[in-house]
Amino acid sequence: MGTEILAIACDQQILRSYTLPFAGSVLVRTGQEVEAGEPLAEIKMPERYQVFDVVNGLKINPSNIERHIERLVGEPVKAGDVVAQKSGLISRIFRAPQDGMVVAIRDGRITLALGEKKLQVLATYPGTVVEIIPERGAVVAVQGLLLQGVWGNGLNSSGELVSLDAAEPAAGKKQPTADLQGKIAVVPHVATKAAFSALLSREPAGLVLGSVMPELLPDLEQAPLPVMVLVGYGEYEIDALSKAMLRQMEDQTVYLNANEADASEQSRPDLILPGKAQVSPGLFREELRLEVGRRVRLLGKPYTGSTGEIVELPEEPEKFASGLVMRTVVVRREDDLIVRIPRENVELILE
Amino acid sequence: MENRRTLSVDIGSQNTRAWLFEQREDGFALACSAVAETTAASGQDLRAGVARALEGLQEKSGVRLLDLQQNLIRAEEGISACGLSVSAGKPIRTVLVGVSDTYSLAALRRLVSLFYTDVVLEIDLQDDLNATAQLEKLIAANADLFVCAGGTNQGAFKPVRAALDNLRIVYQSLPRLVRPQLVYAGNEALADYAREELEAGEDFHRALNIQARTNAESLAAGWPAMLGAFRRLRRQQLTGLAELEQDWECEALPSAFAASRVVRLIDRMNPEGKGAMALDVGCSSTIVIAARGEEFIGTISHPPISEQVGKDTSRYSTLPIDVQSAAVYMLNKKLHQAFLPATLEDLAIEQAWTRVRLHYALRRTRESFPWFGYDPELGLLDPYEPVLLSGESLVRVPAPQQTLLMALDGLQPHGITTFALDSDQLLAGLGSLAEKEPLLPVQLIDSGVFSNLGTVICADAPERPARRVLTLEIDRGESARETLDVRRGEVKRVESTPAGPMRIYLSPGELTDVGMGLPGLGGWVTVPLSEVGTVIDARGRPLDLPEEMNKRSEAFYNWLWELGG
Repeated sequence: MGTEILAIACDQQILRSYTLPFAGSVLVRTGQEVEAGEPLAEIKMPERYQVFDVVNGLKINPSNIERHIERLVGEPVKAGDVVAQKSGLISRIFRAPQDGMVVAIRDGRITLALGEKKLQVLATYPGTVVEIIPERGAVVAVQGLLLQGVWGNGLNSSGELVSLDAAEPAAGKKQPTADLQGKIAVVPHVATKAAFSALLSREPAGLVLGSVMPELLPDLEQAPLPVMVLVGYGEYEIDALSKAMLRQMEDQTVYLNANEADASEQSRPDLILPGKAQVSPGLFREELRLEVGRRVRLLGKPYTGSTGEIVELPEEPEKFASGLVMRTVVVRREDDLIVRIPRENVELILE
Repeated sequence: MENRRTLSVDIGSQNTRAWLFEQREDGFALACSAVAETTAASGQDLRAGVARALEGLQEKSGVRLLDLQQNLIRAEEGISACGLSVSAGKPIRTVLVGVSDTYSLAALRRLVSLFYTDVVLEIDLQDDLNATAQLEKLIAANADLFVCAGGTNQGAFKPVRAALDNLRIVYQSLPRLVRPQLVYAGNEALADYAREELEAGEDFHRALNIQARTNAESLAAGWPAMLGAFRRLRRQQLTGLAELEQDWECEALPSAFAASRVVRLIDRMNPEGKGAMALDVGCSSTIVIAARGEEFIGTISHPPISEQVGKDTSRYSTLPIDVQSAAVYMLNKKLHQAFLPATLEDLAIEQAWTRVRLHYALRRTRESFPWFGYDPELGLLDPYEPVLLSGESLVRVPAPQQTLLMALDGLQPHGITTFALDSDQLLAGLGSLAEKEPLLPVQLIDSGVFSNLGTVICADAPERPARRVLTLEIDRGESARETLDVRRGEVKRVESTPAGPMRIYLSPGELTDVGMGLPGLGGWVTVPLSEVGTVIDARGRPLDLPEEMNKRSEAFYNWLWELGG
């Protein structure tokens, strides 16, 4: 397993692919500037389907079915069009309930695809289209500040970034109502469900949480707004680099993409502050690896969330307190403490 | 041929493992193995990770495997045969369509269980679902794979025909980028109709009926079609797989399925035996495979992290760990799957969680295969020997005693069995070569490629704690024999004799069952050399654990101490 890479970067080219799950139409062109929420690709699909049993529905003899069906497969229909009918003293008619198309006529059943719905893929931050993915979508790039987290609930939004000292107001202080409306709020730690509910009641546009206690997970998953966790589960401080990045972003409009982290896709949730600089399409990102001088964030007790600089990468594996023999990285933390930690237990910081 | 070399590669979600085998005078042998990071995320080509793993093999073996273009060198001096297995990739979104829940749907669940599927929808054709609702559900499922079984041969076919009609609409109407695959494993009288009706070309995979007759099930009848569907999906989803298969002249197998071949082989190598079992515990999934004659059981389960799992993990910890600490560890490990325990506390949680994951996987296996002899309270009732242990959570452990105790607590077997360890995580690697080089896995298993962890004798007696339940007489081939009394609640170890096999006479108490057929019945047992030795587990079933956390963790600690771990 390679080292996990965590971006806490000031001037980063941020590239993201936005793709449809089906073959559709791309709505943008290379070089086009797009806004957050702008559709990049879409596909029109039937809103619903209807299967009509001609034999039972019209009460007809199955051997004569052909004469009662008025449409062919692939033929479009308008709402009210007769699709099948039995004439006679007591006539029975099956009309298309909505505009659509006949998609199948088999075994005495007619299947209609009805209505139309659009499935779109939207940009989640403003940027420049740098690549078109034919029939699927586009890659959007922006130069800016990028802060990645470890967990997201799959939603996204944007707003002015504000930092709160704690999830709940100090004792004796009244809880403000809806004071975070339209804002992305940063909270260092949320310990209880009550504290999380209190945050939600202030109606922020999104939440960036340093760390959370495990029992909050169901609430985070069901939150109606985007939530990103920066460090992890437990009671940990936000690391110094992330704190510095959040300070730079404060009071500015940021884009919170709290997409679900997926290790197999090497994707993480993130917070973006687009910059003014032009994107430089075509530049390749350097391959990051553990090297002396690189900064890392540490995982595992008692170091979780602290950051430091690699000072040594010993070749020989070392035995840890657990008894496991593992390859090591030696890190000088921000507080000058030197720690030896398994290579698997660090996140390499992309700055 | 001299120095004939064979290569096997397993592409996992995190790691790509490669093994190089050489044919020597006394048969095939493992020359070396290497691991590299898998490159299977979107935009990556998995051949890059494979090339890195092969570079690792080159470095270790001194044998040149790759040419300047990073292509595998074949020909006479190169690799004679390749095996390829894959567990990387997102779970395959699967829809099952069957004529009844208890009959064909249950069989379909068993059929798809080793193919990395995520069953997102089941359609029971006996439900009152009308055709429109069925179609809407099939479309909304957005599935990669549809598996349909339609009753016994010559059985009813009308509802199946209607479902096939809907499947055709789903297949033809949705412009999916990854073409869905359709497996038909039902009434053979309808198979040709299904092929023509679905008009899916090579995306249609016809299997023999897995339930050709009432009360007769053959999962093997469905495997070739499932393998075909699996390969076509993964070739679309994983960049570089199709090219790799073409260059190496081999077809990829699902890793768990490849591993199951080895388990079936071990069972066949010992036709008078009890059956073979393999357990693979990784961070995100646990695989259970068992084979005994014609009987086959195989599942992949993904244990959830819930409050109950936290409680169970705290309960099985060798250190006093509260539920919240266990939950914090598990959830963070889920976020950082490569994380390894560096502290004693983290190790205790990891190992307790491994026990809980085994319990969960065995319970799930029992749900899918109701005839599987496992009871959540009483443990593994069916005898299997050997029980092969694999996967990071069982292999990457500081001491073999810890692995053995985790397996013992996770399975809670009865009677006498042997645990073996797949230290090189070779199961899938051997399985994917079994077709091309049938002798290779046989010779490697014979050569002891799986290390013998230990023989376990479980003595179960309805006695009060500390009452003697079993006496052992140990014959190491020397003039004097040792005796050892084992009391209810104890775990004891008898160290192996390096000189060779050792004989142990079991003299159980009147009520003690040691798996010899009846309580009170004993006899001689010959035990081979093993890493841990012979372990006598007299804790009974179910495990009687102290309620108080400190006493409970002390008990686990003492049992581990007894094993020398």
